[in-house]
Amino acid sequence: MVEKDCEKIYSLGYSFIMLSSFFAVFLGIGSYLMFKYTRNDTYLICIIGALISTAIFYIIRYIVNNNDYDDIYELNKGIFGKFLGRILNIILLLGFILIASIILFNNANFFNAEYLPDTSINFLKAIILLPLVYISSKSLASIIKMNQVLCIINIFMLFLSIIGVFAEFDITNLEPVFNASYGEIFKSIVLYVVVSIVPLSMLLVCSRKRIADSERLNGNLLKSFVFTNILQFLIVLITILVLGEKFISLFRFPEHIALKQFNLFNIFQRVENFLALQFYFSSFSLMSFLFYYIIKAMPSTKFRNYYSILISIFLYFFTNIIFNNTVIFTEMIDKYIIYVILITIFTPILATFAKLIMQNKFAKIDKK
Amino acid sequence: MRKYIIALLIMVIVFDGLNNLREVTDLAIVKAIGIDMTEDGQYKTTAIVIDTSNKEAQNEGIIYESIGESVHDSARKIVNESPKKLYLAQMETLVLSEDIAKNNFEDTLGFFIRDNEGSNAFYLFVANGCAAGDLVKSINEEQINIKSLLNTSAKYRGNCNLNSLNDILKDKMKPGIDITINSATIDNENIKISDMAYFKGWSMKGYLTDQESILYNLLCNNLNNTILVAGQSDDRIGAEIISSKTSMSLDKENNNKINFNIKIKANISETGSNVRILNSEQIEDAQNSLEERVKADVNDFLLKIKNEYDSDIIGFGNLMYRKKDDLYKEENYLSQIETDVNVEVDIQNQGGVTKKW
Repeated sequence: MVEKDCEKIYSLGYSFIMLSSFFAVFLGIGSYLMFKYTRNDTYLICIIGALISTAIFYIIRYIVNNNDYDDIYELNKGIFGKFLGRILNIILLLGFILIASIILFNNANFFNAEYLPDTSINFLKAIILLPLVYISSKSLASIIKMNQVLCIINIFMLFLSIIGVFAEFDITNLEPVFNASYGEIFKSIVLYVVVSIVPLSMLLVCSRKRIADSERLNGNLLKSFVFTNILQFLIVLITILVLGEKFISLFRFPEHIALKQFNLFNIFQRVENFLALQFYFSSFSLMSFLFYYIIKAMPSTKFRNYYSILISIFLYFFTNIIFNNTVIFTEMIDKYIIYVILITIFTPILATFAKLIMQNKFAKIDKK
Repeated sequence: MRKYIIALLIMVIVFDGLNNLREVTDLAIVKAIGIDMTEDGQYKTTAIVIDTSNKEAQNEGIIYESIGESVHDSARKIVNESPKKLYLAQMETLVLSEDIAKNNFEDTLGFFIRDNEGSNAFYLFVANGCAAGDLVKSINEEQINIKSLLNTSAKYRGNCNLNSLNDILKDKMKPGIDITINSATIDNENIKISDMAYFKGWSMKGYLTDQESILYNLLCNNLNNTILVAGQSDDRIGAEIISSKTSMSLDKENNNKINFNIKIKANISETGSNVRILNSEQIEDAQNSLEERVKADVNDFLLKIKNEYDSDIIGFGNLMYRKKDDLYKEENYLSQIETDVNVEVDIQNQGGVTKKW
């Protein structure tokens, strides 16, 4: 069947998946924990973390390039066989469900804490889930295109935010340098690397063969990875420059508090609520991909069209059960997020990567 | 299609249920709040609410007062009198009584730090020698824009600064630094900006003098403009500081020593009859006189901070913390600190006058 032009996936749009997903997992989760451990040294952690996570980026890129199937699920079934492949897929699915729950609750918590304190968090979760039900009925190409548009808006708003808070920069906030202990630095670096596995794993949503301009894929992916890490570094650095070491640890969403200082020429002030849309957009994009992943893992039955509604209802109640309130949520992500990502997402990916390498080696030997 | 209809129906129900929905006309926009402590330990809130219904008296607000067990409780009780709930996002001024600044400062600010509606970008005052509620009432009665008053004083006199609650909190959170807050008072039924209040930890200790407030702002890089006089009567030189920059650094050889480097740009605004500023040598003499005056004043002020006030408002401890010097952790570190002040005054012009009349 000839693919319609509007259904084509281009490498640029595909590489943007990383960008929005990165923002989504770091706001209120990755950054919050990193600030907690390493405070004003966190910007240095971003540099070290980005360098180390390059290894994970290459693992993911290798899988994407060597995937002869449609996505990671098909690939696992193809290379491990149906039984082992399914087990790996179930573990991955579990990981994506847990991450989706965390992002959903974090997003609802953000709106509750910063905008709508009198509104029940359940209402907010419902509002966040509704557009996701709609978008998950669309094709992957449409989701990627939507993500691309949102990313461009996000980047524009981010740079506008940087200009707006520039006057509030205090360079002394960076001192003392390396004030955190070795243990805290290590924890923070591990956190950066592990959390960045989530956005990188979103790239496995499709394989190289689905990309229309696949010859540009590797270049665009690398550019996007570097750009994403630079933006993340900038967000962290600016938050530190504006709020300072001790002030950062006071708030659950320090990035948003830094935005409150926005003042452009003494004319544009108090626009943090508008600029904070970038946080929602990135969470929405990541959730769209997570929904796509979860639906894709479901068996193909006549109820397939209702899966998005079922998943939404499941996530709605699941988050109510596991995260009773914000304090429990914060404690849980602090204690378990690293293990959740490592066990449920990174382990299957690593297994796939190892198997692919072995297969390719054997294939080379066979050719010889 | 059916699922979209279901989604739409849920949306209709959910969007209608946003509890925070408030029309602009339902908001009691607060201009200023004053908080006092009653004798039985309750909070008394006095608020100026902008009267949006009276278009002719835009500046005049309605005063509401209430008493409660906490700041939030007393602020919320205002709904017993006002048909609208207080909306704090546009608040410009928060006035605290001396009693609160001395004994309950941390607890009182807690409500404003947590409140998500406000931006924490309002100015904080201590009511010097009067009740915070009285000060707020005077602001309303005399229709004085205390924000403009503060702006003008900070801009042209330098005895106060434009630090908002956020800036104060940022300083408070830093190790090795104590905060200062502007104060205002009622003098002959007129509101005026008064001396700055200085704190030790979360408790107000007292007030700086007028001259000390200016020197404090000079040392903390908050001074834009002020008048400087060196010498007396016929020998006096009056200058207007047009910009200043102070840098503070730890001495490389002696870690207990802090060096101040103050650079001032000034214009001559008046001179005594014995003073001639007609050539470069005379300009240099004038610069030296001004430098000596600033140096002497700053040294006296620093000595007073160390020995009398015992409050690290300049942030010696913070500098040590940033440079990883642990002296600031000692209890009486202020008295162990030595200071060296270097002042450079650069006279930019002598007022367009080339000869003495």
